[in-house]
Amino acid sequence: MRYTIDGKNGKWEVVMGLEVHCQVNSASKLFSSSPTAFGAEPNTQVSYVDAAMPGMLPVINDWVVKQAIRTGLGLNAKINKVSRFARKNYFYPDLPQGYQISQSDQPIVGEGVVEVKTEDGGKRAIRIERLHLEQDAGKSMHDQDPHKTYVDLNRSGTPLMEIVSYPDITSPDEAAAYFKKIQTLVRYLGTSDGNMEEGSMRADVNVSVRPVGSDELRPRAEIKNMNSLRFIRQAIAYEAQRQVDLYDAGESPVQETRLFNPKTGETKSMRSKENAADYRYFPCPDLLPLILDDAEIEAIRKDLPELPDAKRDRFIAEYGVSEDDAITLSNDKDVAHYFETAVGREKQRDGKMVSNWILSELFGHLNKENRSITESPISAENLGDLVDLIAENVISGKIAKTVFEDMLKTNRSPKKIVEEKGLRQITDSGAIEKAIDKILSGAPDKVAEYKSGKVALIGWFVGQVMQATQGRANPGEVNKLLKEKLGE
Amino acid sequence: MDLKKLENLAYLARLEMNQEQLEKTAPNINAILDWVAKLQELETDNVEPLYSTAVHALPRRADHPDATSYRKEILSNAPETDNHQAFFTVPTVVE
Repeated sequence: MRYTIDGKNGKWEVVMGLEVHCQVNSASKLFSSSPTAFGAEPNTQVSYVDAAMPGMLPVINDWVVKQAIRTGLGLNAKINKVSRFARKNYFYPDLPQGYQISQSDQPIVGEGVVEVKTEDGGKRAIRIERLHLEQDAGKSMHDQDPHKTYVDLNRSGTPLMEIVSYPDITSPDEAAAYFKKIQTLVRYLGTSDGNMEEGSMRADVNVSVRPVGSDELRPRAEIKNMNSLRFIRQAIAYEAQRQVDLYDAGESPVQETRLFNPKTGETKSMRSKENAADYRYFPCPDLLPLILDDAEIEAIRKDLPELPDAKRDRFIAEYGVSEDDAITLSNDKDVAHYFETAVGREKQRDGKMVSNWILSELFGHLNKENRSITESPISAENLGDLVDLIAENVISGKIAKTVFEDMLKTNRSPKKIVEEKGLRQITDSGAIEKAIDKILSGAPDKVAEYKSGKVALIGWFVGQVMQATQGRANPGEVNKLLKEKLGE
Repeated sequence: MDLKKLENLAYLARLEMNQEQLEKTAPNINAILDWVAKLQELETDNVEPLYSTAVHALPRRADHPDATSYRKEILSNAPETDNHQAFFTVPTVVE
């Protein structure tokens, strides 16, 4: 289903491109040896290079270059063997150089593509235009003093990968799905921690609208620095509506930079930026061209992990889980690992059953406690053992839930819990028969009703027997024996 | 390069120029532009752009952090800091 907005004279569609900034997971900065750790005391991770002291020269971080290549390969993108750095010039107190070292017409990574799943279950390919490396700026704080802006340069020079998409995105949900996809990808690749709260991942969203069916590109607003999926959705919906309203009023949006205010849910123009957008890029004279050879690129390609899309497809093919479940299981690397450990390499337990236990029971608990899978009180091995106990008819599915509750609290192995609590299923038909006889002799009226044709009472009998055996009787066996006896 | 463009360029470079300076500078800049325009007459269709005369590729460094704090030295050059000498401070920048 297309996302459209009703205007006075017809329907409008939204055209969007995202610029996603990911902090590279390096220990030191892009062009200096200062640490990049989050949360350090202000201005303690600032070398003379980061503070732009005269005469300081940038030297590029080899690890960062390799992570950019790795991410590019994960985006199915072309790696450019020659790329260059450029200066993007603007003045701001948290940019001591007076320019940001970035890449302009020759980025390290060229065109690629990622696939996102849409709300209605369809799939869309979003094309990537480029990925380039650049320095982050420092941080300005406007709320520390009524007359002063405080500047912390700890982030100055932190390596960022900016991933730029083509304007292929057509709805707020698709924008969120695309952003999530990039996040999943960089986490799988280990090239960025993708942590939005700590600012390691944020996006600028370019939004424009056009009449449905047209292929023109109209003036766009760039909404800066979005760091939450909810805000991305809200900002786009607001901004698209605002532009349609303008056209309806006979006006036209201007190409500009806007800021989203989470408190009001509105976007507003950043004042006096019409001049500042003139960045006067020119090749950075301090840096030679970055040259990559095939050997380096191929070594990185060989080292790539299985990526989320491939994992999802394999989970469907190998374990027979549904596509939705496969997506949930593969979206997070740690969840995928937990699932495969629980299925077991040699044992090959029933993937569907394992997946159900993880997605409903375990996730239900973890979400309630606000914990991640790596903090699960139940190890993947123990969950696998629990599934074995059910599959081998040692316990019923119902008893398994009791055991599961116990495991959550005590971390114990399910086998131990079953033995200690005497939860082993009664499969001995003699014992079950005895219980049945007792129920039947205690309820002659119900027996008579059943025999006169009220066969639905079988459920009541099963319930009674299960109760008498504390749920430990094998329900199939109970059913079979009851029918035999009542049929006599 | 007319005076208006020059004024904007000066603003982008945060250079304060009065009318007299602008008028004096404009012809100089135009002379430079004319000279560059002359260069552009050269046939360069089949010539790769040369960004640097150095033939080496960009040297890289290993990702080893240096945890030394240079805060004191860095801030000692600042026109102004906060009371705890932890931040640079500048007149409020309002977005």
